[in-house]
Amino acid sequence: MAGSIAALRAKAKGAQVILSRRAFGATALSSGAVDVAPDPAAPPGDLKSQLVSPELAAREIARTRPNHPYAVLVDKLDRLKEALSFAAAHLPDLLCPPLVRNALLPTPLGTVKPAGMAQPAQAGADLASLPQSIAVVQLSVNPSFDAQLVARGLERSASLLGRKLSAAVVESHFFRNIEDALRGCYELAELLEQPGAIDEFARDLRTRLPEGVGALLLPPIMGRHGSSLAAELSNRLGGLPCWEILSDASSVPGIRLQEGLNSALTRAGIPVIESDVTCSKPGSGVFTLGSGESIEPRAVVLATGKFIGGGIVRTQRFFEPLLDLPLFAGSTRAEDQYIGDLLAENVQGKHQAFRVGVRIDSSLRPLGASGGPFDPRLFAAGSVISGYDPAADKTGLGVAIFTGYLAGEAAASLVLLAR
Amino acid sequence: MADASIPRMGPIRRLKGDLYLAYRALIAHPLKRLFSTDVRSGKQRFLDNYAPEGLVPMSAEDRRILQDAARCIHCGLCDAYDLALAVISRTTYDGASLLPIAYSRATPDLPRARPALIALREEHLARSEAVCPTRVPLRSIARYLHRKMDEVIRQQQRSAAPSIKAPVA
Repeated sequence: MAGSIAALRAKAKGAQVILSRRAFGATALSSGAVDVAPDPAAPPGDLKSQLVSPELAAREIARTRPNHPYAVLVDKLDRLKEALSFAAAHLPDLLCPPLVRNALLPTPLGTVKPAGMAQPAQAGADLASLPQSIAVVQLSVNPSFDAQLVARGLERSASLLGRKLSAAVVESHFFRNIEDALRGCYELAELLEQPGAIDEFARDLRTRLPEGVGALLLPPIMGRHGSSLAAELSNRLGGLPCWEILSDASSVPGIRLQEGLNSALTRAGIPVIESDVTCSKPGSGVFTLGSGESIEPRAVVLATGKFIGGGIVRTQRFFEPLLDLPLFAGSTRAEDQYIGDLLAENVQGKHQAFRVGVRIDSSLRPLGASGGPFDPRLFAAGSVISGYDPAADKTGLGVAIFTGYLAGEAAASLVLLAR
Repeated sequence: MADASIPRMGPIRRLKGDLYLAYRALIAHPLKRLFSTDVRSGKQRFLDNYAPEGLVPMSAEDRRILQDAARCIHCGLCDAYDLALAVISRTTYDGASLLPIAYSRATPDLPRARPALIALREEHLARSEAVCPTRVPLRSIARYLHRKMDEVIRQQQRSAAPSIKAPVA
């Protein structure tokens, strides 16, 4: 996400851009929604506190967590909404405009997650705005999705929010072949795209829907390509609102988001090179692509991700494989720290190991060993930046979009200035 | 520092143990080899012992491929782009992610994966490999699995052959 947004922003500013990537990053594994900022002061279980503006929550994170990218970029936080709107504008069918307040979107684990932006088919499942009576669809042969868990979890979350909610489970027999039980989410999503499939799915559901249901929550498999089929299903069900819940990995909405970004890059005329990139002499500004071709860009945005994307590697020690940049956990160097010192004792604890990354200044330039910018032509974006855990902090894609937007802009400005 | 929970061995017992090992090395084994009709080397006999169980030797290249397979983070992205899923039934093959997380785990199970491996083509896996966030070399793993499957089946056939004899009356 960060790299694509940086490329799109730099291109929009008038720079010539090449995007080189090793493979897909963590965006393709995301829930499909954009978590911008939860309220850091909210006690666990206090869902009402999460119904705040993502911008306000981001400011609170900046105030309370000095190493978080929002804190480093606090002077630019008034542009957070601008960055999110830019992403939404480039993914018109895939992302709603930024929400005024966080939406509490249901997850397959029966919990809700605060999100500042979501896919159109997901945004309506906000727990605070769902009607009082809903139904959750269970596919009879899909063991990886448990509608009971979602329904009971939503009822419990609704009571924490101080509202009544009744969630029934509707079992669909649309997928009924023995092979369907063995299919993964991507395949089921593709089957729903077959001609006539959504009509048949709607017919099957119509016969089973209980009276008085005000909205239908669907497993996150509503179409593999383009935007979700939830709206089409809603039309077939006489306008009954149909929403998709968030996904865990493997994630159909995540793949949609990734492919949406790919399409946006193509539309913008940005060439995408899929290969490893190496830099034999850090600081020289010369990079070698997988094909052996050398390039010397006037500015570079490093958006290589963290452990999934390969931007940060840990094999006995932490290191940044492209430029050997210094890595930080909090305010201290991380490379040779004992991993046990960087992990909390319980799963929900603050694991510094997952916040390891490069440290940036307020212009998004990674810092070198001396404490100053490593290279004035180098900018960083996304989860390669230290100070936040993209998976657990609930600021993952929000930071990716925000830093990608600013880094792309800064890189383009540098290039255009040199012209 | 010696572990106090382990009883110390007295000098007489240690001497008896060393003498027994010397007897095995200097007398028993040379005599056994002298009168043995088995011409196979020790290594070969070792390998032959494990062959019926489907355990075949691993080269340095094989070990490198298995290390690459261990990079898999089980995200399942490869399955989203696996063209083989459109042509192989789900009861035979469940997706490219099985290569690093299941098929490559144990050579004894490879003969059971034979229908899937035979139906799988390298070109099916090209896009899956390209999108893999940790760059697991799916096509190399598929080649390795084919090679190992052939070796296991060959070894098992060879070791099964002597037992296919007419039962003793």
